[in-house]
Amino acid sequence: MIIIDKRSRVPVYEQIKNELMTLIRLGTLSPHEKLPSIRSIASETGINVNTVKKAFSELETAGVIYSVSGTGCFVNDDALANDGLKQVVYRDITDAVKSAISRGIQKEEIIELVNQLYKGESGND
Amino acid sequence: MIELKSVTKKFGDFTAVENLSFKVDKASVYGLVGYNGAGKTTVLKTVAGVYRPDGGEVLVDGENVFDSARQKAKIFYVPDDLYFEPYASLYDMAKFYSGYYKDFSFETFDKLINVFGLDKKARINSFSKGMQRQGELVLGMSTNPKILLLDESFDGLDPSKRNLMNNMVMEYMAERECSVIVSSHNLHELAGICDRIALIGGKKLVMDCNVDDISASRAKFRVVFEDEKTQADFIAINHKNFKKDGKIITFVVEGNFDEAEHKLNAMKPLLVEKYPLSLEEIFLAEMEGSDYDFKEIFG
Repeated sequence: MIIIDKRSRVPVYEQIKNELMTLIRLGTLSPHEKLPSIRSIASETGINVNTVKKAFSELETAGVIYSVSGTGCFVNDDALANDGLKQVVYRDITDAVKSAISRGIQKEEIIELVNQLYKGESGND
Repeated sequence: MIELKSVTKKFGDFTAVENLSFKVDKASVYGLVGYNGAGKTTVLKTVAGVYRPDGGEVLVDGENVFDSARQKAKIFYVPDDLYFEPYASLYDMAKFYSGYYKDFSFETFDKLINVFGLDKKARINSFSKGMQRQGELVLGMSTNPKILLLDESFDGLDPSKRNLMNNMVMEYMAERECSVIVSSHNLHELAGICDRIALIGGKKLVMDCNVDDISASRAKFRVVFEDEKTQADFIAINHKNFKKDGKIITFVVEGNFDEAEHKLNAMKPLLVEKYPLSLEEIFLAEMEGSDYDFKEIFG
């Protein structure tokens, strides 16, 4: 369910956060759905359980998930509306656009691309 | 919990490690990194209570480990140079260890033997080096240690066995809440495994850090400007490892790199790229100036 690239420059706990947030964004994990347990993610990926705990606690602090003691962690009601989640998306987009600018891509081209992607989405509805 | 307090170990006139202090919590994994001969094995053997430190002390749950048979019974040390009884099988060794470790579990032993696909009746000296390492780890985990010391234990394993061993150790640590110290000269191996990593260099602890915090605390920048800049132009930005290749400049920023990015953007660059640092780069940055000058050697 979660894929970690140990050779990546991105810290492992960030990768876990990103993976979980992607699953939430895609709707694979819906509000109030139980997340896989910390232990199961740790043993599935071979990652230190404390690192997985850190990723979970940061998501909890950001309000993306909530924990019920003794039961596990669940996706928050408004996880998708959550600022923390949005900020991550904004940061990703900002980085992508910056890199496009430095590679000489014109503003119009990006806007065209965005329009196409959004059109594609409404076409699927 | 393991606590090293100003540990010094000498062999005759030679000082192997000097004034080393660090702590390893319960249910955590501590990585020791350093060049060959940096003193990693000496540290592990001192923690195991094999060596008596010449200065300072090693405490396990508050007790001096060298003098405490009780604490030593909870420690298993997997050395780099493995030792097995001549002609012994893993099962013979299991019986041997069960005499010393009262918590030895033959049930765990059999399960692990199956997982690793080893033959417990075969002579160990017919095994390859990698199989012997797996065998030793199987024996080690079967003793139910509260402290597991792994000296270069991932060396010489094929990728799938390395992965298996990695997962076993992680699972064991989480399940039994034991402390693990693992030494290696391969940082990639330690990322994702360790809570903390310490770097030993020049007999001393050069760095001791929480892996997650440290990777989040630094970033590498690559910038390009229209005109040629020198290091003096970046004086307002606290940086390290400044490298310049024509117009392309790279450096490492510690701490507030959002602010650094802001300042860089104000300088109207053609390109600003920010990368997280790999553990390897962090350690190399930390040892700036101490790495070999290959040009000097081969030039």
